[in-house]
Amino acid sequence: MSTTVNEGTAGEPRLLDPENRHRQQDLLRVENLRVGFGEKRDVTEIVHGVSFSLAPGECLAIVGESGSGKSVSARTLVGLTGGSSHVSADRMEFDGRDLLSFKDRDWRGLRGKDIGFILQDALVSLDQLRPVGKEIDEALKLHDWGPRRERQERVIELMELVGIPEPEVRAHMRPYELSGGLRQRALIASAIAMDPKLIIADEPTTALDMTVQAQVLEQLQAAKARGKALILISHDLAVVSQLADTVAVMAGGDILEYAPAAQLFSRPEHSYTQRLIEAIPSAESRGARLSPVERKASLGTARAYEDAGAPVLKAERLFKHFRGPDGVTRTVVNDVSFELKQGETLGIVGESGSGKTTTARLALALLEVDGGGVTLAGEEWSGLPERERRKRRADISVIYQDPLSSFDPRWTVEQIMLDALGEGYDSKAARKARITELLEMVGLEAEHLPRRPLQLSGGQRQRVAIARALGPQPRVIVCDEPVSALDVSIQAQVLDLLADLQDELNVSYLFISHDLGVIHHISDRVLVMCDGKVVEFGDADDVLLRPHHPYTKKLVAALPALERPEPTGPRPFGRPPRKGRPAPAGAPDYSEELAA
Amino acid sequence: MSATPDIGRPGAPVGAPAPARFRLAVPEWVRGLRPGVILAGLIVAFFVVAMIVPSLLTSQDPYAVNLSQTLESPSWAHIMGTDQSGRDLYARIVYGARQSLLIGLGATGISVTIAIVLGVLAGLGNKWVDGIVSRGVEVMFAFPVLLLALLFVAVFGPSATTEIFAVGIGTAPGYARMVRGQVLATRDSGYVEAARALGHPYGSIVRRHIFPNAMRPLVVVFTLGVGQAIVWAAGIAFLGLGIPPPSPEWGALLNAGRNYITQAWWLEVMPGLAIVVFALSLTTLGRFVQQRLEGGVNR
Repeated sequence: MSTTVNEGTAGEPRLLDPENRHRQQDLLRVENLRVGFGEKRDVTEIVHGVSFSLAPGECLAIVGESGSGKSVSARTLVGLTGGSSHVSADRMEFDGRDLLSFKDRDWRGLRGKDIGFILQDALVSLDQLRPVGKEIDEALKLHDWGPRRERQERVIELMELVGIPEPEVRAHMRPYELSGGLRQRALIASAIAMDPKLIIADEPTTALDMTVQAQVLEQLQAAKARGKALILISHDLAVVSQLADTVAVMAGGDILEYAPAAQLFSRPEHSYTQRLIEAIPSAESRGARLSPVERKASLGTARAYEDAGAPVLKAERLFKHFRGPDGVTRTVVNDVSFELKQGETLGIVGESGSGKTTTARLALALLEVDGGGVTLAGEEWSGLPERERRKRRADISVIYQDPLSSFDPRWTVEQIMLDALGEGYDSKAARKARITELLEMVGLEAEHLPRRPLQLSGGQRQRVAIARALGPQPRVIVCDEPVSALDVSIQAQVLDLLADLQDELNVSYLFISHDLGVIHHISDRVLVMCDGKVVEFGDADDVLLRPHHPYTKKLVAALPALERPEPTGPRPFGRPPRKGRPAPAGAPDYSEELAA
Repeated sequence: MSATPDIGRPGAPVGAPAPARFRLAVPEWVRGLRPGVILAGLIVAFFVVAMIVPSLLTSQDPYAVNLSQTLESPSWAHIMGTDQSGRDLYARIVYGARQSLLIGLGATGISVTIAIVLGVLAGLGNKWVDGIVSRGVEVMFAFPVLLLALLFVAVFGPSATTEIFAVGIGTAPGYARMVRGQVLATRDSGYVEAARALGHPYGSIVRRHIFPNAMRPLVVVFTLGVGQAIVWAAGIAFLGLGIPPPSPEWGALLNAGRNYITQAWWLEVMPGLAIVVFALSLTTLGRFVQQRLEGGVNR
């Protein structure tokens, strides 16, 4: 897939040019916008004076990590910042109107009519008890679109417009009866119902599967082609590169870089932007570091596993059935087999409901198989009674997507870590030394020991989870979407950490993700799952660069590709190639240069 | 706090006396509280003192009959008035605190104990155990507390013990359901699976994760329940099924004043006020504890 950038408007960096700034055709113009939250005296400023402008038919993307102020900035434009907010700006104009003077009443007239707002999660944003047709109709009714009959026609028309098949039937369905993609499209339909001049989409694809994401992006692209202005808020640079004409990179409440998309992606100027682009895992980033964080020289006294020849984890013809609430039995895992060698990473990729997490739980023997079997280190595993398995659980451990919920909320990091140690430590001091060592391996320090998970950042929590998984010195770690809840730069650090640990300890990963980029970056071999079945299996490059099965082809095609800068040499954060992998042609270490 | 280095005055010699401050010695943690919480704390403290040493709070004898001062309205001599036998109502309320509070604590203790046993059994048992216990709890739910009290009084005769058991058993099903829900939620939580994946035996997971986490909300429920139980007991007493006279138990006071309601309003209002104020204060404290436990660092 290639990025299509609107030619003409985005050619030169006119937006940074003060002379071109006050063009007449600007639909939206914001200058020096500041937003703070808090009570009278105690106001914390979240957005520190950002400026941007937007013309009809243009797409501005605001990119940033969590806490960067991107959502707050966008919500200010529709007056949804909430009661305790303080908004000030030198100028905030939309369609010739001064938004700074708006009262609640004015905002209600504006929202939905002139500015459409698409929220992240359609399941939460849509009323569960109301048919989606009614929901779309509500937007029309609110702004006196016309009599009932005409509104109904308009609803069907809108649903057709956003690509909902059989709109007459679907209009009477409730959100939970629709698939994720259809739900998000219904939400878009209600946002564009009044034909607004500006659409603001706040992370419109974040909770969606790859193929659904592609559909939603297509709809937004279509709206843009109809002359709508679009503000796209996202943390995902690849998604942004599909749509944006102009990109504003935000961090810590400031716009760090503001440039036409083509320029920003090919010649990023700010080091933060460069790092963000660098941090995206993909086919090209295989074997290279994603983050500028340096690798630790030694990883302590842990033992590395030798290659035993035989696969360390082997699943043969696994089956698992679940009985749904409707009494119908579904086969969630259907004839799945794989082998995992010591020191290797096997990626399992698939969309939600494809059975990848169930496969992981079968491999962990936290769920009993209904057919087939799993062997661990060449010995029977899934067939053993739980009592026997418990003795060998040290050989296989797990990292979850949401680390917070996998820790007992009452426990400190120290308790969590002590709990994870296996046997064979004779004194309290030895145990304490070991957990400090484990924390250092994952880049944390002894000072984190007395803290509770809630007092740690998202990245730190996942590091504790990794340290815990390493505690019993496992041969295999099952990673169930371990980076899906993390920001791009934190994700990069965690992926680097996992790779370093594998280099050092020769541990194997069964790595589950819905993100093809992540999977391609980290996996040696890849297993593609769809509806509980394995549709394709092989070396990562073979499967993901030269897919055979139509489903894999569809997945790969749906991956938004980032127009990267021309490769002018090896990636900056080079690291020694991993075992059994071809080295990227001479990768010198540029990290010092970049830090300077 | 102990031995915090004095950062504010880097030049000061260690151990030098801090400059004198003329300020009421209120500990730091008290100053941060809302006035409502402080008031509630004081009221609860008052009744706890009344429960343990009632003679500290009044010099009057709650049982001393004085037929020359019957049904006197509140005055400086008798701030809450007197009853039909000329007994001081304030003294009776203070002395009645012991039985009322014991009924509240006892009944809540019994119902929480029953609830924990049934709830944990249902939450951790297989589907048969869960089914039987849960259906049983639902049957108990459908049984009115007052009817249960009537049954108990008919069998065991009216007394404080009867009342404690009647209220305790009557209010148990609600708690049992809650405990079951908590146990289920904890049982299926991520950290329990993580503990299983680490190879910990089931018994130790129940002991170290499921039980403590499922019981956390009960601390609050207990404080809320005591006030509730006192109100229940008062209701039972009001119907004449409670502790017989001349006990100054609050519910009994309400029941006794019933016949004079047109002549002496204070006989109903004062004990009623005591019940309401105490239950309200306990509830306020309970909510405060709840916020501290769940809103703070401990989630």
